[in-house]
Amino acid sequence: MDQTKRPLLIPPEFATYAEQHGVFDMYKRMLEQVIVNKPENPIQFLIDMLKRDNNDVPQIVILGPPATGKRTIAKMVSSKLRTAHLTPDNLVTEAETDLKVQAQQFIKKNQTIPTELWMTIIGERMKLFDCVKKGWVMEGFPQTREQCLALQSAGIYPKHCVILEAPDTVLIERAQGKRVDPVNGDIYHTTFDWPSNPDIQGRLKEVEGYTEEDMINKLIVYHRHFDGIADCYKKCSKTINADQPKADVFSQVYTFLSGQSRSNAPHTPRIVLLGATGSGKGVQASLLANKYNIVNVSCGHLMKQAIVDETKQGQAAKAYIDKGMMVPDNIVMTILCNRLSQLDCVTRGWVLHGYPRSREQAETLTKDGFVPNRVFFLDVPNDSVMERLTLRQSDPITGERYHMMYNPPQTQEVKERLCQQPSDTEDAVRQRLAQYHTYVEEIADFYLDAQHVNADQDPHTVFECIESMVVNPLPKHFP
Amino acid sequence: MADEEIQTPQREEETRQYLQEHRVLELFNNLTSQLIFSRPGDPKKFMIETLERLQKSKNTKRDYPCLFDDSNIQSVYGMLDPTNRGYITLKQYCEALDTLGIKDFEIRPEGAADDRISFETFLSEARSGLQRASATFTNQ
Repeated sequence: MDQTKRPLLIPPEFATYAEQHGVFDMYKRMLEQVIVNKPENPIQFLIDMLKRDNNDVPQIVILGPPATGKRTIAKMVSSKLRTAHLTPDNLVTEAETDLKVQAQQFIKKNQTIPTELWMTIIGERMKLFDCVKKGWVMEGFPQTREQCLALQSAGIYPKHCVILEAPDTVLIERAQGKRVDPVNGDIYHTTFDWPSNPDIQGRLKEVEGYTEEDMINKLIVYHRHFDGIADCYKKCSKTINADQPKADVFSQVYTFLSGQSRSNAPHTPRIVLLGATGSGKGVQASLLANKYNIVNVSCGHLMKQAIVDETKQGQAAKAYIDKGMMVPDNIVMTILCNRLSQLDCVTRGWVLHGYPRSREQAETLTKDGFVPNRVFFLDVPNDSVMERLTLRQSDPITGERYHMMYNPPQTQEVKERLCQQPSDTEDAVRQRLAQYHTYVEEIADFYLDAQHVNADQDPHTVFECIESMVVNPLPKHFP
Repeated sequence: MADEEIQTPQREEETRQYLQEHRVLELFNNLTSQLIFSRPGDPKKFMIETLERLQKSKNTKRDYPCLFDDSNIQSVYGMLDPTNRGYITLKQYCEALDTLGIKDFEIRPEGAADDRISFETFLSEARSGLQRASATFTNQ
């Protein structure tokens, strides 16, 4: 039978399970490696691969014309992420003796090392413990499209490719001040990056092959090959301007490296929006629900609906509301559970707002199996909330809604008959704000990977911000 | 993932053949069913264990990791023959094996002519079928 037409008899809880444990990505990696390596005994191969346990390690390529600071950035990255640092030079010098001799013969004769030899060298290096266990940062390689494609067919493909870039004139100028520390190979610059340690200052040497003429030749070669390479890596690469102080370049590189590329894993969004009253939770939820066809679950609406429908829980809740008391958690939770376990929520995903309002509620939600995969805090200063809410007025005759600052009524007549919703008075708003702020910290403690969004902006700007974090995997935290 | 353009049709065909020859996709399907069934806390460790069991059964040619055992086969049969007539019809037999996820079973087993298939025939056919389905490797 065609595998894609097999009936899918998979329980819905498995989707949550698979998502939590990254099963899809694990399968993808396994199948990928089996296809690339085509081992004789796939079972043993998979066992070995799973035992190696190295799916999260960084695999990074840093490219750029000469003198853009590849070495400096690569060193910073590899020491920060604690990975192996590979350069074309150290690949050769640290290779097995016979490979090294072969390669050095080519270098002596001033010839380029053939791609096949490179592949053997890199292939051997990649099998070593540090590359496997901790990942690698490869700098200044591949240099041609041919090498790039050879790497790909060997199954070596970076997760991130950083391309450093600067105008040629800047590079030529910069190359002349380049100094190297003969002891550890660190690169310095006479004006821009002079070492503070006098010992190092004393032993710095000029580097050969960085005169203006050499640089021009090198740049020509670089530009000739660059487009081919960039095309191979276009899915995972980012270009960063290298004509900045190195700390700035590094911080940009680091931000890029901590992002993860979008995965093909099936993903049902289960979003919780948290925020003070008037922070725009409802607006954002309905925008998300419309665009991604997920279910908008507003806790307040559900309660009102239950009361109107006169369900058992609704009647129970009404008794509390009439007395102006908080509805007990278990009643709210039953109503919410009923909604969230309906088929549309399970298959399409949901965006919940107005709940949880305390840590206990958040805990019950998780305990009952409704684990959100994205949690957002919409942060708005109290003053903006006051301004947004207390100036709202509505016209009792037409039902039109006005805002005294952003959307004032046109005529005096309308203005005189405007009324304020009782829940929008300053006192009421202040009370709800205080309630929110009492609990917000303990909720934040519970949802550790919640994201904070500045919601004191135009609704669509806020929406874009939330959207990007819903669609892309959450940024990774390096230990 | 590699660039698509270098995957020439020939290489694609090779890969397809490789996957078929080594029954990789069936292996993955079985792994998935095991995973769905037990939903272990550490899927990676669980998969290593399952694969190792499979590897072992490949060498010893027995104890294939499979979700169903004889008792399941028995209860399927029991459901089809609630009155203990001692046989089931050919149609029931085919449906039952299909439900167990067995492919290419004997369509004309012993007793097919009378439309009466005994429990023994069903059991042996189901056993060998399940074994075939879970032995996802090439027998060299």
